[in-house]
Amino acid sequence: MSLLESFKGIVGEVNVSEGQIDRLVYSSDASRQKGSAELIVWPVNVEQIHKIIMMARRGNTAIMPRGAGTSMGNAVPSDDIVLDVSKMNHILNVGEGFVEAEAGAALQDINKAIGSRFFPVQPESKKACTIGGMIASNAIGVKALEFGRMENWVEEVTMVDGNGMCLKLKGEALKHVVGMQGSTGIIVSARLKLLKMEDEKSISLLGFNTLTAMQEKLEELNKDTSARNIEFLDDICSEILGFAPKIHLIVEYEGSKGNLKEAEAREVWSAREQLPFLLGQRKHLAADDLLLPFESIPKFLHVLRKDNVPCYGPIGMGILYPVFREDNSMAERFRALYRQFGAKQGVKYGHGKRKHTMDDENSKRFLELKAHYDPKNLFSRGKLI
Amino acid sequence: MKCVECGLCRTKCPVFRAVLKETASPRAKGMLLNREMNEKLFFFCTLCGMHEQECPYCADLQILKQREKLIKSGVSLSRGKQMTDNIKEHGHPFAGKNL
Repeated sequence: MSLLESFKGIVGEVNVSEGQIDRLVYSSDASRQKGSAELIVWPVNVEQIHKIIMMARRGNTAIMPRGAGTSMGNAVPSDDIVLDVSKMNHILNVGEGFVEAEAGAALQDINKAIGSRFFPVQPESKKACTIGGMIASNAIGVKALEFGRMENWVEEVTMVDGNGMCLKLKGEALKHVVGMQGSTGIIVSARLKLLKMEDEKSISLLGFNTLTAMQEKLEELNKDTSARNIEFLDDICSEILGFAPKIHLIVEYEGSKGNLKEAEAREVWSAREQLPFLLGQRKHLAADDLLLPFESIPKFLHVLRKDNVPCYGPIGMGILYPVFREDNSMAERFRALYRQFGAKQGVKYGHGKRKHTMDDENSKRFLELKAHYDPKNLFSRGKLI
Repeated sequence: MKCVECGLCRTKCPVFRAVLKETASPRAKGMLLNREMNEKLFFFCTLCGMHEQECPYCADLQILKQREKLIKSGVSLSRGKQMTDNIKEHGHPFAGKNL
């Protein structure tokens, strides 16, 4: 029996396809890299996922899990089955300080369902990104310095591993799934921590004429415990957002230390959230996500500025996003320089299938996890290793 | 601007929300357009315009233009044909002589 027929027996005729258009659509994602999907399957519950995995084990068939396909990290399949969890989008329970949802639930729907509480990790793709994808990529939100990444806000993950076991991962074991790019199992659902609405905050928008002046202020701010978020905008990004054409730092303070309050402060953050799209409208669509040592930042920004490459990001964490045009080769030239600045790529979008190096310790840890959870290497082949 | 295939349109699209497959999303139509492919998928849209409101790039998916091209090349949906036949026969798009 063909794989298609076998899967029909599991999920029903309408929830599996190897049609040309379905395969084309599922061969790509927001990174716009082109892969190749062999077949697409849309399970609706954990039992179906278990059966799909057991079937894939028998035929040694690779599975690429997929959420909303908003990843910028090249998470496209290479002749794999795509397992799309979009039909598992239910919000299961909203309680005091937590929400439980299936992997395919969109963050936007969760934001609506949790009422007066809020979930702190809000990436720019919040309109569409799913909980499963956010966990797999250990997503980072706009206010990253204050709230950190998904790993700080996940309490429990239910997943089906490559042995077909349905596991509930908590505590230390969450490291075996959060940020693993779907390499250890198919995320089925998760329990996330929520916060009460944010305390009073204010912001200051600080302008600088030189990178040196900005760096001096940044060093000072890094010692200021009331500075909760520090976001960098170069002069190109500042101008796009309607600010003066200077380098800016958006500094969010706990309490009323900043000079912009409530509505004005919200306006500045809202403008910042639009920045990747405004850059995209100007053909700057290829964003990289870099973690840099603080001492390298001024030199790195200086090199970008010489070639008019826009750059922004939560500089308080040492993270920057240079954004290249897709229609020239400048990105490749810069990527060759990243190592010289001590920059690590993949801090926001995950590694996907982008070229990267993993140090020996991480590589060993990853292989041990793979051997435990996915000994037949069914999931996300080509990602991470 | 062309669709950049970011997928931010999908959550509010009523067709995607009903079907819950990427192929039903506005992005899928954008992908076809970017690859200069015209398929029946362009009929799979309510024309509500929600994707235009949601799209951060104001991409134009040219749904009506693509449909027009399809119909001119002889591709149509059986329901569409039934509707035009009804108009020709009864003066209105619904089956039966009386409204």
